[in-house]
Amino acid sequence: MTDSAVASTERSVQVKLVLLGEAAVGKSSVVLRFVSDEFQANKEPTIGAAFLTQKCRLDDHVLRYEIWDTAGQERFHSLAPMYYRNAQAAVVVYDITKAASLQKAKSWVKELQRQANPKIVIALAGNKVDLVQPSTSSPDANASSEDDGEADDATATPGETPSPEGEPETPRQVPREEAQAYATEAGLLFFETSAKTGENIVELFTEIAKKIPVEEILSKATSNRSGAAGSRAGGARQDNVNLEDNGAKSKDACNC
Amino acid sequence: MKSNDNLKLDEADAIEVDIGDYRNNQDDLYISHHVPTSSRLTSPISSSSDLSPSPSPWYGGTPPVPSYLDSLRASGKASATSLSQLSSPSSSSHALVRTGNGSKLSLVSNTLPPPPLPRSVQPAPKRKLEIEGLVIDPSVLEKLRRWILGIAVVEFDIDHGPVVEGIFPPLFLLPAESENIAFSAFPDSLQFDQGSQVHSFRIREQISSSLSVEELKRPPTKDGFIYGFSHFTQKKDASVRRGYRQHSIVILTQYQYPAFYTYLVSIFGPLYDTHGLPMLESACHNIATWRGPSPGQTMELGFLGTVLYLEIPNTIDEQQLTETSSFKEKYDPRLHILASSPPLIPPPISLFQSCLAQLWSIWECIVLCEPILIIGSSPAQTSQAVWWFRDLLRPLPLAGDIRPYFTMQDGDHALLVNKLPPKAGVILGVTNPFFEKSCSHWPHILSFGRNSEKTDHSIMGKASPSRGTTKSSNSGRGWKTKTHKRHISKDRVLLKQLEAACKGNEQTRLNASVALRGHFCSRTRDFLAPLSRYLHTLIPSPAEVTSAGASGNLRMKPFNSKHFIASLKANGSTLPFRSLKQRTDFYERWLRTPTFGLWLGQQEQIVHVVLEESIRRL
Repeated sequence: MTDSAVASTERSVQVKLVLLGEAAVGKSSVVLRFVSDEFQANKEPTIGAAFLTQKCRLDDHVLRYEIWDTAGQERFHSLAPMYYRNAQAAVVVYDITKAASLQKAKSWVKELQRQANPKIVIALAGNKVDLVQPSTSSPDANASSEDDGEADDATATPGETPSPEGEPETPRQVPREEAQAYATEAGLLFFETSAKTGENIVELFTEIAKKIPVEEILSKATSNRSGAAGSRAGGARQDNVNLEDNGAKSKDACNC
Repeated sequence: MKSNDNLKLDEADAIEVDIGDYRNNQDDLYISHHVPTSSRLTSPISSSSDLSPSPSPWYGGTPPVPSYLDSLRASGKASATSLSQLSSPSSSSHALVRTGNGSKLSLVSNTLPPPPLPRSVQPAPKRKLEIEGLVIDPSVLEKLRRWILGIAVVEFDIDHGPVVEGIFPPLFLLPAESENIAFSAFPDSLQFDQGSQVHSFRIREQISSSLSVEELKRPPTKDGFIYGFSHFTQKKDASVRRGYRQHSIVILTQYQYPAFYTYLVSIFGPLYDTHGLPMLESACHNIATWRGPSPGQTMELGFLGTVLYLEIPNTIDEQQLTETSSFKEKYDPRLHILASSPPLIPPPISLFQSCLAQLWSIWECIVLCEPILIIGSSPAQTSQAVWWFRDLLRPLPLAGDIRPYFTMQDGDHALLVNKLPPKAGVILGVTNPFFEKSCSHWPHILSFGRNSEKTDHSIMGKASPSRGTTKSSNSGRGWKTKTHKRHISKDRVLLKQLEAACKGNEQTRLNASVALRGHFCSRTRDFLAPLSRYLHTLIPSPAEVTSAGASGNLRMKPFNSKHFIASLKANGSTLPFRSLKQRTDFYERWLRTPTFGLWLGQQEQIVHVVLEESIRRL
């Protein structure tokens, strides 16, 4: 398909990436924005986990994300290890308008640092930045005010209407500085994002891509080629598969 | 049958059981008891006497040793009407029982007489209600059904035997179908103390075709059969009366894709055992996110944290060869799945160790639609073997009824196993020793030995082998045929390689298995070549097409056996027949098989479509 031409000449690296975070912080929306450059208000809650792929082109190689978008609901918490097992990257998402979601994010980070692949690249994403005063880096200052009154907070939780009529902002509950300080201390990449406007979404995945130890994965993949069942260390592999619709539709998302 | 029968029925109406297989396994489980009440099960199975020995399937569950058996342990043979005991004094936990009118022979442990099984058992345990409580959006359901009918949770009920506790998403099944699934999901003989295992089965849809899809409330099957892929687990559990819990998780599907669904259930089964219902829900929602199966395509599918690469065949009769697979990288069955191929892990060659040199005869029998009984020690073995043979037949269509794992409770039991000669093309995989008796008149039996080796057939699972060494009826292992003599030559070089590979490690055996499969697939193609060549002469030439023009009466000329044999003699065959006479004989026999009719029908159909097309273009 469209991929085979690209893949045959370039080195392609598979990277397993998992999204974690409290329910309704916008994990699926972040992925949808990254993979299809779309936004859907009032998305259904994820059950179990969704699998999507997207490519990211770096200077001398193509990185292909295998993205596991997990369910935030508590009853699915115990399933998370099978998604972050062997993952080379994780995005832990919280909602900047909900302080409790950062606490949950911190506990995910702790769990990853304790139990996941020790070299996993973790990024912390404070999502729904469109709901508060646009941050200085936002190219689209009108995003939140234009959408006043709409209940589309990029989440799945019914009954959470963050922008009440006539009130321009939902109060931010997590100061940017606080989250940044935590991320620095814990050794995480950090972005404030908006799945709705697209702010910082591509940047998030691109920065992760830059931190992935590509050479290491490539050499591991070659030596492990005939390795044990099931443990497919992401490697330069065939690319002539028909990607899921999402993958085939959009071109490389990263451009750096 | 020979002296190594595990279950014998004495002429004098006394019963003797050779439990050689089991005598060293005092601690092992067998198996509770089940006496089917359905009359079909006591119908004309077996021997010339009036006795219809209908031994129960043996389901796991530990038999606490009933103390009343101890007193009975010493004597040798059982009387016809009372409790008898196992012929080995060291066996402590089983008894042979004759119930009712004396027409049933059953192995029981702690219940006496055993409770009859109601036609449709509907216990309502908590889990059943929980499964029923799971909701699924209609749009998700529709997408899910592109791949599977549902996932059944089958539990062992101490009073009723295996019972389908629930299916998610809800699937309409007749009580007989549900019962069939429940029994087919469980092994009917013991293999391990604790562990898990994957096997598959194929059961006939009971619903008459006159019902519409709406009335059925379930998607139509492709061929009138439901395919089940079962992950069975047995583990110690003090909270259960027997001390063991046994259950199976079964993926039910309309597709004949054994390699794929076996892989799927071997991932899902252990995860379900750990996580329960949230996993069931997750798996179904996960599958629903896939695009539908598209023939001829390779798909990348994410499933519960694992990425699968699946190649779907264009048709169910297409050979999916590893050499021509779409996977650019070297084919590795651990990463790449050819949907319709047999499960290749563990390497199938291990199964055939006792009959390597006979594989060429067996292949001939498969091609000639000879009925074959496959006896294994586990459903995992039999199902892998049955799928293996079905696969070697490709690209020939499947004319016979194949059952990867067939139980006595199957609704078709009386139809397939009776005093009559077995139907052409039937391949039955069985583990219940009862079949050795009831199928003793079958012409071909392939036995892997029951309960013999510690063959680890738990696909990616952990099965601790049964305690005690189980030396058993190994003498009966191998290929036994009453009628078939080989027509083609073996590939002796390959045979040597296979023999050597059997001693090698798993990778070596896997490579050898793939090579073996490739060899027979190419033999099937070689076999077809003379037929295809002759068939071409029956297709109207372009000139004939033109002159026939719009009259539209253009058909393929009739297949004439004599002309075909003449063409065969003139052009020869690449198959290494042992003699020219053998060659003629082989093809003549094949022309009388149902496969020939089916194949010819398909060819005519293809030619017809092409002709229509060319006439339209005139």
